[in-house]
Amino acid sequence: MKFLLLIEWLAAFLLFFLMLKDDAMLAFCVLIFSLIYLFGLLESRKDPQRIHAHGMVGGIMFFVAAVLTFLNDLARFELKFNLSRTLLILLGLVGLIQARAVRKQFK
Amino acid sequence: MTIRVALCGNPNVGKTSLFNALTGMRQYVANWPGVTVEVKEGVRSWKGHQLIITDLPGTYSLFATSLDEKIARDFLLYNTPDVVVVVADALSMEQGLYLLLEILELEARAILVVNAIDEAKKKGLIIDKQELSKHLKVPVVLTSALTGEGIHELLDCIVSTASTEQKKVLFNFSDETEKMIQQLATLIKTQVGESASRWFAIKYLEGDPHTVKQLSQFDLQSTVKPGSLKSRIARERYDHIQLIVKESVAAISKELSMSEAIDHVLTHKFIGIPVFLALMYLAFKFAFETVQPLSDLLETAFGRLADLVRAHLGDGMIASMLADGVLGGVGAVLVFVPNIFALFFLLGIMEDSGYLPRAAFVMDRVMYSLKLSGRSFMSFLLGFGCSVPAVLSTRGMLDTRERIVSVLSVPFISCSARLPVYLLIASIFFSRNQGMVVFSIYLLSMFAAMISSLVLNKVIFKGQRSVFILELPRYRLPSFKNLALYTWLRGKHFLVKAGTIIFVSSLVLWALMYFPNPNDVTQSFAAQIGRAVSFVLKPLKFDWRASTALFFGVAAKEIIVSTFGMLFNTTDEGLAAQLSQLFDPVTAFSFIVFVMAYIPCFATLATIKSEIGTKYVVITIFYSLFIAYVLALAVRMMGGIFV
Repeated sequence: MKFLLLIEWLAAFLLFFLMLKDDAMLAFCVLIFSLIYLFGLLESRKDPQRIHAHGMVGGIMFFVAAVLTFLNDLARFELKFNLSRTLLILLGLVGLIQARAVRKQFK
Repeated sequence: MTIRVALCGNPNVGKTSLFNALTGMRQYVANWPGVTVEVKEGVRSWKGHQLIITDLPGTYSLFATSLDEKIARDFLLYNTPDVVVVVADALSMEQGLYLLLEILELEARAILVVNAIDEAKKKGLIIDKQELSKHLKVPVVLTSALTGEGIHELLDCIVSTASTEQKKVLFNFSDETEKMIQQLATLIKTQVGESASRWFAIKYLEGDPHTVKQLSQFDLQSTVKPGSLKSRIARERYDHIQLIVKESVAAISKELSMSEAIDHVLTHKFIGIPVFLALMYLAFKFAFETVQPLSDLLETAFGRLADLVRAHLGDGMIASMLADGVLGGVGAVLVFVPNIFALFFLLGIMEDSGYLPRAAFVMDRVMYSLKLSGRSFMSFLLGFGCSVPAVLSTRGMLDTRERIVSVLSVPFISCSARLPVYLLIASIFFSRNQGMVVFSIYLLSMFAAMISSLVLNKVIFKGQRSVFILELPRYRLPSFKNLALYTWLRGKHFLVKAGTIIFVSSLVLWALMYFPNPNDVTQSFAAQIGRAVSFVLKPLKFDWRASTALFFGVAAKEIIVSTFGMLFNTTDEGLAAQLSQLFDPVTAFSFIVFVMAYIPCFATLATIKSEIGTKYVVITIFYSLFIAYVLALAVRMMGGIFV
């Protein structure tokens, strides 16, 4: 799980820089959500449930951000498929699948 | 037969959901404590009986420390319902059982309802109701207000309990404690009657301030000190409750639950607050940018309708009244309906999922440094909808000082009525960053409320910091029904206002602008009022038109938009073009900052009067006006440096 969190954190961090010019506030939201993955990396391996918790919540946050951004583009008839949008949607989709998979770890 | 039923329990155990399920009513159910701050009543016919069901505010005990707890306690004490239904949460029953033991001391016919049984089952909990009933000596019903499980059984149980003879089911304390209770009860028996004497004796020994005050006429202090057995009574009850729970509920494993896992991240000490702010920003972006095309459509529709009216009715007074007064005034406000409903929809998701109490929890650290608690933050959050329920929600605060400070600070929070003003200005002057500008105003309003609390606490109300105790509700997937109800009830308030206050105000305003000279608005009565006020606002660069809007906006903030709509639709140029001439971007921003902070609407002032007194209404008016002026001036000066 930690490896996946590391990949996601790096991708999210890259996304922050890519979005900074177009939409600074949304970029900062992405940065904040990436911190969820980062703090998951700092959790002890002895407590895998806490690492999973970061994966699940981070995944949900990226999914929410991706859906709202997609709807915003759709409402303006400006569907963008540049690198930053593609990466955000990818992170959102992976986040959703990850959250659904990880939730089984909890009561 | 008519049966009077009281529904009571700890905050956020699902009383209101149960009330709705029992009565078929549609009271809004929030996923956080303290929603019911007043008594609500509903009627249900069941098998030839009429049940009058009263939903009481949530209370942890009958040791009434806050206003909502006092309401619940006084109802049980002085209205003596036929049956008291005590609702406990299936996942944390202890506190609910404590309340039940207290209520049994009142010798009431009680029923224990263990609610949210569906969630308990999901978590592998098995609750043995026979065992519970055996130990507590009261009927026990397992329910789920969400799925409807056990509701009919509860109705049957209410009917059968009401027809049974009232019996004494008292908790036996240790011999030593019982002896003291009996001694004291004998002393006060002649004054309050045999049945209540034991209850008063226990409350006196617990140090309940209301009971101590009530019994101050007797010389009891020489026998025993009030509050001398407070911790012993609580300990003995809890020891007993733990035994009951151990016997009746199956053990659970040590794994993290879903709620605990989510809380581990969302209430994290480093990322809890940033995540909350990020989510709020996304909500605002959705409500003010994504939904904007719908508002634009409405705006076009109202414009076309006004043109149609003018085309058919000519340039007479009636045409002007309909096109400029009704469509220009009310229409200018109604175009923001999609934004407002969208915002409430997203806030509803946050509230119904159980996230908002977590926001209060993570903000408690910040609030504590302002000598407030997370409870004040919850009132502030409610203020985003409307200041009236936000002021009412302060009833749950234990500390009077904290309550007054919160009531005086809540009006700074941007309510939905101010939103049309922000959106109008932001769409004209900051169209590229509309969402960010509105979000920044909301942040500023929160900041203003917090700074106001700090100043009031430091300068006027010097007191101790209060402690915030909040039972965090479980996370749940928001139900569409509850979400739709939440959005509708909050949004309806806006629509009703548009059809009543704003409609009437628009007509009055139209008349003030139309007379005495229909062809020259600058000579109108409204303009004369605006000019009289504008000299005070001159340093802020608000001319007579802005002053007129602000003057009439005191009644309800949406009227500011109506006023602009009518003032500028009287010429051929559009509202946007006219406003662009009226303000530069800095003045426009200082105008919305002024609107954010200045005098709350009449409804809020009336609520403040009824809650904490007329003196504080006067203080609120001058205090908010002063803060608004200072903030707007600061924006002007800083803007002057940078722009």
